[in-house]
Amino acid sequence: MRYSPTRHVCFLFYFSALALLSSCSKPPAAPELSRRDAHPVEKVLFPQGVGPQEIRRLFGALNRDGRLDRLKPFFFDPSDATLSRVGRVVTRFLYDRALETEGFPAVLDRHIGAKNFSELAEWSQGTGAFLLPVLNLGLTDRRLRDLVVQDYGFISPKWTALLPSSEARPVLTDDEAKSWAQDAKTFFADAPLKASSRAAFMAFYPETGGPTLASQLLSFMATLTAKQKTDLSQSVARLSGNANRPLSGIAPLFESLRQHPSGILPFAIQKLEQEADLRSEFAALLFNHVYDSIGSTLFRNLKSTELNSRESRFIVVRRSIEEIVGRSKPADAPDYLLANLPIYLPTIVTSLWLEKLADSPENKTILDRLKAAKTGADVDLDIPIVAPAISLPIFTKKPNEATNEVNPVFVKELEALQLTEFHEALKPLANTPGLGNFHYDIAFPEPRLSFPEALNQLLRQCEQVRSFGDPALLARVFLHKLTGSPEYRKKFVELDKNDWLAWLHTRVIDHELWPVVKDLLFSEQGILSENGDTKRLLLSLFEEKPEYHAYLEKLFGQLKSLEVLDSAPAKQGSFLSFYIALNETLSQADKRGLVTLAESLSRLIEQSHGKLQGPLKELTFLAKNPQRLNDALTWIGETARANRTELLRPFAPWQANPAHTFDTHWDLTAAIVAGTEALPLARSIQAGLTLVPNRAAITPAEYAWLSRFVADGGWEQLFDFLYETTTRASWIEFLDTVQELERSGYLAEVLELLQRLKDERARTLAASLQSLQKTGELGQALRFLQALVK
Amino acid sequence: MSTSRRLAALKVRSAVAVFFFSTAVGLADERPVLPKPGPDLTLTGGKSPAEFFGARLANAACADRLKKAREAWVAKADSASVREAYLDTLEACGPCATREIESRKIISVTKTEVWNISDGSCYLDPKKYGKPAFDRMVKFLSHTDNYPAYKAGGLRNILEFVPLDPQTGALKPEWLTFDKPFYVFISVLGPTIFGETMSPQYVILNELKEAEGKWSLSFTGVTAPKGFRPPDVYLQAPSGKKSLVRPLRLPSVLGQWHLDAEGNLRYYTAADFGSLGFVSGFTSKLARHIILETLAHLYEAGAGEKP
Repeated sequence: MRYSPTRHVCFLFYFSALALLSSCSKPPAAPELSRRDAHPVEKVLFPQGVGPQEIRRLFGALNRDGRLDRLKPFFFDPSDATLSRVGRVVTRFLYDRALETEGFPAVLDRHIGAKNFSELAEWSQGTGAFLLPVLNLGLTDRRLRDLVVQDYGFISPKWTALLPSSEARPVLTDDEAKSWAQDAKTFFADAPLKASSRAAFMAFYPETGGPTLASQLLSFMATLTAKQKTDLSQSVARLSGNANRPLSGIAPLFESLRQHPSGILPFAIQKLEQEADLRSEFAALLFNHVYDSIGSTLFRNLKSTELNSRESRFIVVRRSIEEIVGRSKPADAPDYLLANLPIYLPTIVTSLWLEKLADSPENKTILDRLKAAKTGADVDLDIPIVAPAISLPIFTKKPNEATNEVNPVFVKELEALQLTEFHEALKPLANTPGLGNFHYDIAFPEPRLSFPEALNQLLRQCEQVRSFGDPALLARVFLHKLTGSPEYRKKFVELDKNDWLAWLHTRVIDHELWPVVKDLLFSEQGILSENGDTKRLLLSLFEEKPEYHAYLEKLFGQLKSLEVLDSAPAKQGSFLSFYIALNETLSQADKRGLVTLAESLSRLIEQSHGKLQGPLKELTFLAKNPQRLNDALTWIGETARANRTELLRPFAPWQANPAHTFDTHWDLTAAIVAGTEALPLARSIQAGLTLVPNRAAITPAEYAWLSRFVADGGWEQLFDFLYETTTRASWIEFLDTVQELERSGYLAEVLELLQRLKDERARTLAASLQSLQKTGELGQALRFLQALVK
Repeated sequence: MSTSRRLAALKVRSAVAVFFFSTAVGLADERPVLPKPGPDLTLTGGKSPAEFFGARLANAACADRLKKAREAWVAKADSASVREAYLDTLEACGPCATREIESRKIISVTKTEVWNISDGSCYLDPKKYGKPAFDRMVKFLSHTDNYPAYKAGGLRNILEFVPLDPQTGALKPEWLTFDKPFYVFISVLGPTIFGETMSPQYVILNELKEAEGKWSLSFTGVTAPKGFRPPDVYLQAPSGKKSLVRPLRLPSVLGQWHLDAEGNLRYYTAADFGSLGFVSGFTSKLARHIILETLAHLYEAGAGEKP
């Protein structure tokens, strides 16, 4: 176990001082008295603990020759009220429990035995020297009082045992440390940065009053696989290093969504309701094809199809078309032929195309993968294929005649599929005018393209020969219903009044819907595509309302930032995908917390731009060190998996007043950072990573004593007493005096005298102090305290 | 209700129906007709083109805006937003301008026609550019190979422009000049919505009228000759990727190019979009941009510089 000095600084400083005070408040032996006489010290009793009277009597008994006069201001002169305050602390936490196995004497003895004071003194003269001014600033700041109350859980042995060993922690180079120091000075001096940091902190304390978001975050981290953690660190690193600052884009986007102008949706609906031509045009433009729906359905269904079988091919294509446009009619239906023309004709063409595709040796890979997909394997079918062209007129000229007949190729297929009724019904159409085109001439401008894209192009060309149906008809019905129905209008009014940001997080950001929304927004064909007119079409609805138009134009621009957050190399999770996964695990209240957290962190990054120059700028340290982030994520995930509750336990006191907790930490840190020279600050930061508590830095017994001391208000009483009654000068004087007494040997005599106390508790305390002095550890402790106070 | 009362009620309803029908017919627009070849004095508010466009060009601030917008477009030709900004500035400040798109609705028993009329003009100051500019523009418009976007120097908004044989309907890409009444299949760039580009397509009959210093090419949509099969039309992205467009086959169209040596360039088209309408602010703006950009291309062909 490695000794870490700072973890004992507060502990030793105050309690050693207290112990000294307690001991020094006892009178020295009076040499002129005969041995038969009882020494005044022996007459000092503590029937009701340590009070002003007992302190003064003991001090008087020890100072009969006046050699302790210089300590009078500390133990004799203070008012009764002051001495009462310190007396209460001494009684309650030192005196009353002095005989317990976990009492203060036992704690002190352990440190004496381990020579921890010597080590501390050595550290303060060597590697820790530069830290002393920083510690001094902290220890003499009134905010330390609350900080200790809020944070003492962080030295709990159970908690420190969860931390990575100090050897595993990253070490900053000198240059890095200087950059951190420079950024820290700017960061903590900036009011807007404080406000955003505060908002980020408060995100963990929603109205529910507890850090459930933190708990949910840890649970989420615990579920991540090693690959996911690598993906996440690399995503964050990539975004941090992105010159376009995509992480900065989150805050303005969220703000726009939350503060959308009211009335925007009812306006659009009303406009579409009032202008029939516009409604019709929108329907025709926005919902102008069905082939892509059929294409995606067919692509999905092909995964369970045997392409070598004519029947299988026909069935899968027919069923895919039927899924979108409705069932084909039975042979005895009166409109059997007309109803089934837009289904059977493209089905046969597509089926023949698939046969041709399968015959091409260049397409072996896709066939192998389709076979694998049938077994349920997760295979990528979105791969390039060689798309065969196909030309199939349904009617051809009869040999040596002017009239037409059904193309023999087509007849062969129909017969093989036992679609004789359809063939018979089709025959009379061969020479009937007014039925449009019957020639399927399928070509691909780029023969190598992905399988789904090839299917899409094939079906698109089929649709141009004979429409699968009028999709705009459905769209018109939909828009008519939407705009004409009070019920739907009401829904739009409600949605318009809603917080769109919350709506996004509760309704849109999930793994099922997001891919659809993403495609709708960001794909090459999406609303936000610069190559298309969809965005302009939607914006045109709001030409008469410049405020709505401007808002939407801005919003569309901001939504682009989501695209960057969602981008990732192939087979790697994007930052947004992790955000969505996390969001899905959260309750409504925690979703709100997540929104606040994301928004304030983003604002923090945005605000820091131009102000910070070092590693905090745009979180560049993450961009440079994805491995460090990965290590941190791994540690958090592993720790959270087994010890989530324990990990969060030290934060429990923060719940009482999180805003105050934040301000205490921030203000104290800000004061220290501002009051420390750049170089010592850099060194402090450099050392800081190893100064956080180490494993088993404090024994369970010590922690039990300390936690009771803090929880029962002892710390606050002691701090208030010291803060209100002492000054730096008085401390210096006190320490110098004690040191002189120790060097002259007089202190040893005083401590020896204390052994004559009749009270066992007081004697036990005195025995520990005597041990401290005899082993030389008292001198070491004084060396350290002098270095610290000066 | 008695028979006589029913008849009376029927008469009243018929009268009301006739009244409203008459009203509708009475308020209905007329189908558009080709304008008389010449400058568009409606656009100029009665002023001469020289005066109208001259005043715009003399506005230094406006000219400067146009110059900057043009430079931005030249630097970033593939950017839709930069292109739009340029066209908007050209519309406001440049030597080319268009009228608001006019919509006319003709309601008949069997159908509703929605005619959208676009009309734009440019002025190439003859003192500055002279007759050679006129000659160059005539040369450009007289060769079918100069029209389609996929040909070098072609018009961005014309995706296909290919002559066809009126007898057989066969496409005749080798027929290059308008030396007689001339049938052409034309496919115009329309909006791209959700990745699909729509393209109004027509078979048109062109008729050329030439006189000294005057040139006009009128066209009218006709029923495609028997045997005609429309070709597949592709849009080529800046990346080189080709995608098939969705045809909107519209039978009713008419239009006219007019050029004269006095510096006037005018392009008028009117088409019936029927149930599609295309009357929104979006499609109107798109149509204006299409005609303005086409005119700007011709202006450049004549003047040797972008307007």
